[in-house]
Amino acid sequence: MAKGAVIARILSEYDAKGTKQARKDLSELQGKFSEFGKKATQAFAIAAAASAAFAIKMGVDSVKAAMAEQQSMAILANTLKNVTGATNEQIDSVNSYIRSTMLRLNVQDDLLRPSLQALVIATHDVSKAESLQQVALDVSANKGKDLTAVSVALAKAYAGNFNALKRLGIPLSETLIKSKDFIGIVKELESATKGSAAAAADTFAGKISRIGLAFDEVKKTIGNAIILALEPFLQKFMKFLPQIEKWLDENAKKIAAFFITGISYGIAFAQVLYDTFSFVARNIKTFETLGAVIAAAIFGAKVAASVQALVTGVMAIIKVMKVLRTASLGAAAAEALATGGISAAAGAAAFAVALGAITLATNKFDKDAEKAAGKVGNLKFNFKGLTTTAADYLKGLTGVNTATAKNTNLTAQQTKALADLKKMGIVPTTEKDAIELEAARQNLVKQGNIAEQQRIQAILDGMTAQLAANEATARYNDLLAALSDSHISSEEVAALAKKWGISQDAVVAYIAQITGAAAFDPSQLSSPGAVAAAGWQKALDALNAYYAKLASGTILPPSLVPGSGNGAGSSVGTPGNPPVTISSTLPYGMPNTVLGGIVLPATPTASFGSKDTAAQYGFGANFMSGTSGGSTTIINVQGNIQTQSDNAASIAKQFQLNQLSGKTALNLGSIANI
Amino acid sequence: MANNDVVILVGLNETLTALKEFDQQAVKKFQKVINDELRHAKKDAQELIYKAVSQGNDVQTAPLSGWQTQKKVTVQTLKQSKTRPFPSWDTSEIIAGIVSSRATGKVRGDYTTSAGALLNKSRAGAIFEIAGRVKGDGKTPQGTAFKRILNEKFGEASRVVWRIVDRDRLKIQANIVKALDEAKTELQKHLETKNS
Repeated sequence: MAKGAVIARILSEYDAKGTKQARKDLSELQGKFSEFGKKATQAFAIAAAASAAFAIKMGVDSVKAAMAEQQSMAILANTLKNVTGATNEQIDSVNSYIRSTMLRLNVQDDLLRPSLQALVIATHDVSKAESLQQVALDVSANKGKDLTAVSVALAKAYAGNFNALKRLGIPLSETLIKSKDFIGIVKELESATKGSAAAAADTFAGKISRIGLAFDEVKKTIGNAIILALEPFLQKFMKFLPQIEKWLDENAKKIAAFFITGISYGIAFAQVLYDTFSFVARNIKTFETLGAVIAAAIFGAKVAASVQALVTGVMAIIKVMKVLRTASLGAAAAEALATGGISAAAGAAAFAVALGAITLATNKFDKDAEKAAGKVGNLKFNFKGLTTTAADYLKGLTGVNTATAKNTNLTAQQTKALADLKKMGIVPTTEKDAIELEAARQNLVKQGNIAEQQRIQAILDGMTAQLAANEATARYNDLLAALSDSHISSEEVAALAKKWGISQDAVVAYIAQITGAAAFDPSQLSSPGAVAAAGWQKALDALNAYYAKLASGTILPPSLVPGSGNGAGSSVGTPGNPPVTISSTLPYGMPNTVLGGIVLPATPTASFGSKDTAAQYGFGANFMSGTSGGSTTIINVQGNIQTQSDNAASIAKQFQLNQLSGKTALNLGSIANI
Repeated sequence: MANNDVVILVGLNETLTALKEFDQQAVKKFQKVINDELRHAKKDAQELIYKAVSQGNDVQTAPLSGWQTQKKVTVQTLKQSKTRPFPSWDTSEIIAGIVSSRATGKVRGDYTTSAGALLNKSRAGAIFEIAGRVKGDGKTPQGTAFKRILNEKFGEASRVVWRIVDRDRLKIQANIVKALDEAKTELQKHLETKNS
């Protein structure tokens, strides 16, 4: 086609090429719909509950609207028959006119019918009434007056009474009023307001009103369907009306209480009624129906989450019974049922069924759509993915190029690293090889990290050992305090166990270890305290024996004893003299043990604390063994400790002073060596 | 403006392609129907141009007295002008610009292609065709007067090809659809004969 030309198409031909595009469009649409279907399926589950609640209101409103419409139609039809002798065909024609006017001018039929009715009564002529109604509609729209009021005023004016029209505030010619010229009045009104109704309908508000009208029509349609569905039930219901009414009157409170206690919902209701009331047994068929309806109401109300609503529902059923006694049985019953929620629940159930069907249909369509989309859709996505990958690949290449360009020049950091390397005696093969330089730098950093990690780990290990040593010191201090009276009781053992957070057996074992009574069987002693006391007694005995031998010169100083002072706990001895072995006869059959060797310090002071700290404090079999490495705790043994109690008190005092000073009892060399 | 409610022919090309194998004359007959209809429409549209200028009994004049007919546009003028100058009226050029076309063109959004159209290709012809289609005054008093006088003398916009298409479209379409149906019937006969 020529560019820029004015083109007037005469003929068009369907093009098969377009079907490809159509298929593609359809495939995309199906894909979108499929996605929508999945979401909608989930949404329906949530919406169903809300919809059910909405359906209750919808059902109530629908039935009400349908009934109101039926009523107004019946009244108008009756009026037409009485006043004009209209046939059914003519009545249908009037209904069609009402409907067309409603849709054309957005005026509710419930307003149009009373208006027309008033005018028909006045004019006795349907055609005249319809013409006058048009005038009334225009006046109503133009002056903002109620249509029925305007229509009634016009009807009165038709009969010669113009006061009603004047009271509406519509300016009229006094001359015409005086002459009672109705036609002149109507013409005057027409000339002033003609087209107002149509204009109003075409406004935004009118269009909104049209939506409301459409919704009302839907409600009426639903309401009519509900009424039709209720009719068979009502007919059956009315057959048993007297008995049911009596029964409900007698048992209303029981039923209400039954619901309030919340015993059950649904079908169980009928069963419970059957067991409870003999009346039900005689009329089970009726109650099966009633129960089903009530069950529906209950489930509907359950959605609304209100037990009280159930009670209201039951009371409403009673209301139905009472209303059914009146002349207008069908309509009143339907209204009462709807008000009570029963018809609404039926509507809700129907709505839920419809939703379920929609969901199923959506699922099916979803599957079908996926099948239909099939290969074409997948192919499209694959291509898309391929495009993306290729783009990313190219993008990645760009990044590589950039990185390479950067590597060709040394950064300030790399230059500094090079200088550092030189200081360390490391010279790369070529200083301009930035990559190698960087690798070397990172390697150094890595090695530095390893060394740092090792240092930190050593610190941590040292701290752990320090904590353990502190704990051992604290325990030993506690033990000395307990033994200050040269006696340890079971209560003291229990107290130590509680303080240390270990069992009494563990306390005894601990004491036995540090006192040299390691190889004993606690089960053979009468009490933990006795075991500990025995161990301690042995230790003191050994100490005294040592002092005695020292005084007699049978024990050489450590410097003269080969292998002594290594903290290994070896027995003390001199060449030609066996190690000091102290035996004692213990009560309760405790076996004799050999105490660890007691090493005479090289200087007049013996110290706790050495590289073998753990062994010093009972973690090994030796007690008070060690070298002169430590300096924190000093026990003066220059012969002035003469008694057992003095010795114990001296040791305890020293430990307590050390602990109270805030210092650690031991100065571990491992920490300082890190 | 031409109404866009066009008849969509289905199977036109397929029918003609298949029919070629059996009956060349039938194909020619069908093509002749389309070509004749388009030619007649084109002539009618061209006739409207003649009528427009002959109102002054001088085909060399423009439909409006102020519409220049011999304006010579120099290169200098084009360089100095920010917009294209208003086209002069050249009856022969406009007549020549009114053509019929069977070019299919692109597939449109409704999955159709053109099977026949009238074109008004010249600038002056297009202005004469659609000037005043947008209601309201012109941007200048001269423009307003131009639109008003065109409307008064030649009617509302759609004065050439659209006017003809609006007038004759149904007749043309009916004739062509009838011819296509005949061609399909003819093809069917041949196919049945072949199969039997």
